[in-house]
Amino acid sequence: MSERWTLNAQADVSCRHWDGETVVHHRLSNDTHRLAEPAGWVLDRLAAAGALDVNEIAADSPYAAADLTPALDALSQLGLIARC
Amino acid sequence: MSPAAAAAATPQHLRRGLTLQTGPFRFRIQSAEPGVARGLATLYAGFPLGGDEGLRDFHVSVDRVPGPRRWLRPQIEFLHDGQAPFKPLPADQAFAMLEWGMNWCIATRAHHYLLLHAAVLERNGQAVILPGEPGAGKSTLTAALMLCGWRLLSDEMTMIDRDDGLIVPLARPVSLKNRSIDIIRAFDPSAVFGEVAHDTHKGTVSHLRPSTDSVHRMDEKARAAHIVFPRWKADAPTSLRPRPKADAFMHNASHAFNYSLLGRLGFELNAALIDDCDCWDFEYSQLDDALRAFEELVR
Repeated sequence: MSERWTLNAQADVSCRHWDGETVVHHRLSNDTHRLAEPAGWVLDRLAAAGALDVNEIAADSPYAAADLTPALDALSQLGLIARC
Repeated sequence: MSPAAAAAATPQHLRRGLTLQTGPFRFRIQSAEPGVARGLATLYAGFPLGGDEGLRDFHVSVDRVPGPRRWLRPQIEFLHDGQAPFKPLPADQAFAMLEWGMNWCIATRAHHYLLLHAAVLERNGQAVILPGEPGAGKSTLTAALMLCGWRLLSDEMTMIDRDDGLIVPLARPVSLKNRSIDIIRAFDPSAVFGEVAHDTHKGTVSHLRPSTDSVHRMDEKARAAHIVFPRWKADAPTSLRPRPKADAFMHNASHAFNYSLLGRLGFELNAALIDDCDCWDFEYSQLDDALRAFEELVR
């Protein structure tokens, strides 16, 4: 079974999407990140659904699960999402 | 204003201290420097001077550094609440130092606004924000637009009200540097300039008096409609190209005076501004062409 991901509750993330890019504020660190897709898609899916694995995130998306894995790793390193 | 206000900026009055209202701020200014008195009388001629009653936001002074340097290459220092945040400068830069010091006061204290490092003007109810790297032609363009009837809200600092997201005017003299001084003198020979300060850390500097309309309407907030990143380039045709909003957001954030300090509020205010605005990269070489493009933008 794939590991599941969720938004990092401590990070208290706020996002804005413009023209295929996402800008994210991470309240805990007070950092702002500019992210290319599919990172914005991932954050939206997790915000809406709570906890998902990579295949569930990929469902109904224009991205294959393999394309989402690097984005999940990057978002995790930024402290925006966490394994659960 | 009142001719009385301009007249009040005599050396005698200024030595005792006068209260100058600019946008939402009241500055208590003291100086025995004749150059400061002349600068205030020339460039703030239309501004209301407050009385001695009520609170002031900032207490500042510009005066000679004591000691032998009073006679040999005299220097002046800017004080805020009796403290000197900068090193002294040559005495002939006294008015410029007052202007820089006033900017510093606002940038380091007025955190009830999101403070972007950008000029902002308004025409037809639409505010246009002009961020820009040094040398990008921002102040030249700002001065020319103001002289063509645009309302100047600020040539240096765009102040976003945290309660309603509107832009709060801070009409002050426009700081022009080096070649832009002669360009604007040629553009409008009736433009009123202060004295020229040479060999400052920014080169040659002179300030341009804000338009009467800008001063009279300095309590009237404006809603932003465009963010235009200007860039002067020799011989370049005038061009206006959309700039990605995420890029404009990050530029605002990294060039704001207090984005990080405001935390989530800074993010939300900046995001709301970007939502409201079209964002553009603007390149130009000819001022007249640039002005036509701006008129088209707010038609």
